[in-house]
Amino acid sequence: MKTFDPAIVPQPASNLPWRELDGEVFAITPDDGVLHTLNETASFIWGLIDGKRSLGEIETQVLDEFEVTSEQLRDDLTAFLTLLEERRLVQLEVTEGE
Amino acid sequence: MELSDAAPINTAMLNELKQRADWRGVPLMASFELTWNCQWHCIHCYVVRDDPYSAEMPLEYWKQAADELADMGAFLVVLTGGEPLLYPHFWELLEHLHKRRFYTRLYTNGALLTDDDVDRLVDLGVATVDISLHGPDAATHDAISTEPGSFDRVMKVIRKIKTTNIYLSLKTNLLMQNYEKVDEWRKLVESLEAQAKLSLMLTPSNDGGMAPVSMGLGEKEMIQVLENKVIREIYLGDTLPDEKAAEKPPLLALGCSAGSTTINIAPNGEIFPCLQFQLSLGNIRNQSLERIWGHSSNRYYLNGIRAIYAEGCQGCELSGHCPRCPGIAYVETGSCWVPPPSTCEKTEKLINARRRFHSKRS
Repeated sequence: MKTFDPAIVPQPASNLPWRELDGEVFAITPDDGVLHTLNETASFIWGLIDGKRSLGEIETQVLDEFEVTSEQLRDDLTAFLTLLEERRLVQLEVTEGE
Repeated sequence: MELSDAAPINTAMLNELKQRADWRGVPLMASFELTWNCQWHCIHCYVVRDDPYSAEMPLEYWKQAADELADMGAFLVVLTGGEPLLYPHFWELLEHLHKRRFYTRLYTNGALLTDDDVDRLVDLGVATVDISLHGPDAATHDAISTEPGSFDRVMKVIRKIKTTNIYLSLKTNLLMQNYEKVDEWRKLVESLEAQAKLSLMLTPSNDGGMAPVSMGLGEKEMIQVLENKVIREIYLGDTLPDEKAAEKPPLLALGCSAGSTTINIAPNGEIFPCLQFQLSLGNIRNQSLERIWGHSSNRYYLNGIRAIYAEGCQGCELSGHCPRCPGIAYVETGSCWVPPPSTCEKTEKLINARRRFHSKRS
């Protein structure tokens, strides 16, 4: 994902086992057995990734929760989702009609 | 049962995860003994088929347990038995575990899996499969499983699994019936690019019977096995007790996760601290799992396992080499606080075998 696209609907990768412990998410990618952990902020965002919320909606909720500018947040979300996709933790889909 | 040997995992991250789970009282790892039926009758099996806990539960109880465990933070589920594929609702349960995002591991003899079944395991997210492989050839394996043709059947399944991304472990115990072929076994497992799990330890039967333990190796046979450098250094260990061990502080903790981050559910719903430990915490058919986990008096009793040193282990020069298990101690003696005699005997034999092996070489 090279630029921020509010229409994208991210969801946890199918077949991805994951859990939350103490406010932090951990997951194991089945193909390579690598254990991934997310810090508290990343875990908050992970909690919004449900296959229903678009990236635009996620942006709105994060702006409500954290003190960050929209421009900075869009850069951070783009980088974060790109990383999650590269590590096969999420799938990114565009909503219908886009 | 460990998350760490299910697949290659960052050990530091995993240890931190387990520690946090421990602090929070989260049962991170659960084993589901779906049934104690099995189509094999392995000569060293610890399962007692007419055990009072052996009556199988309807599927809804397993699904309810899975849901409660997921909500409590449990992550790894091991499906085991007996032979878990003999449970009539195996696939439905697996589908449910997949839906609840568990990291699922399967302990099986493999013989019931078809090629389509293996593909189904992949689709339903089974990450790791452990298969019992008791020897490098049909004569050795079938003599231990007591099932003619079982070796050929299992090898077919193994080859199919190797075409998938499932992490495969092949395991056996060293018995009088297979120890002479251990190197051939090791080479076969390596040629299959699977993880080899080899153990000298044998478990008493769940009712305390010692027949399985009696099939283990004597000191003479252990020396013979130790002569194999690979087996010695990689699989069985090559260290000797420190001569000054008795001068060191006593062992402070047994390092056991039973009842803290590990939980086991027997076929009839009885809850135990782990697969090995037959001290009941309650039954999910009578109470919610959350209530059992949070309020079982036996579970409070177990908290001491990790904070106390067992009388008899304190100051023992073998304690650093001993796979001491409170569950085996409980089955064998009725107490989890004392050293289990079969483990002491086995450890002593192994250390003596190592000493004699090294003195032969020097």
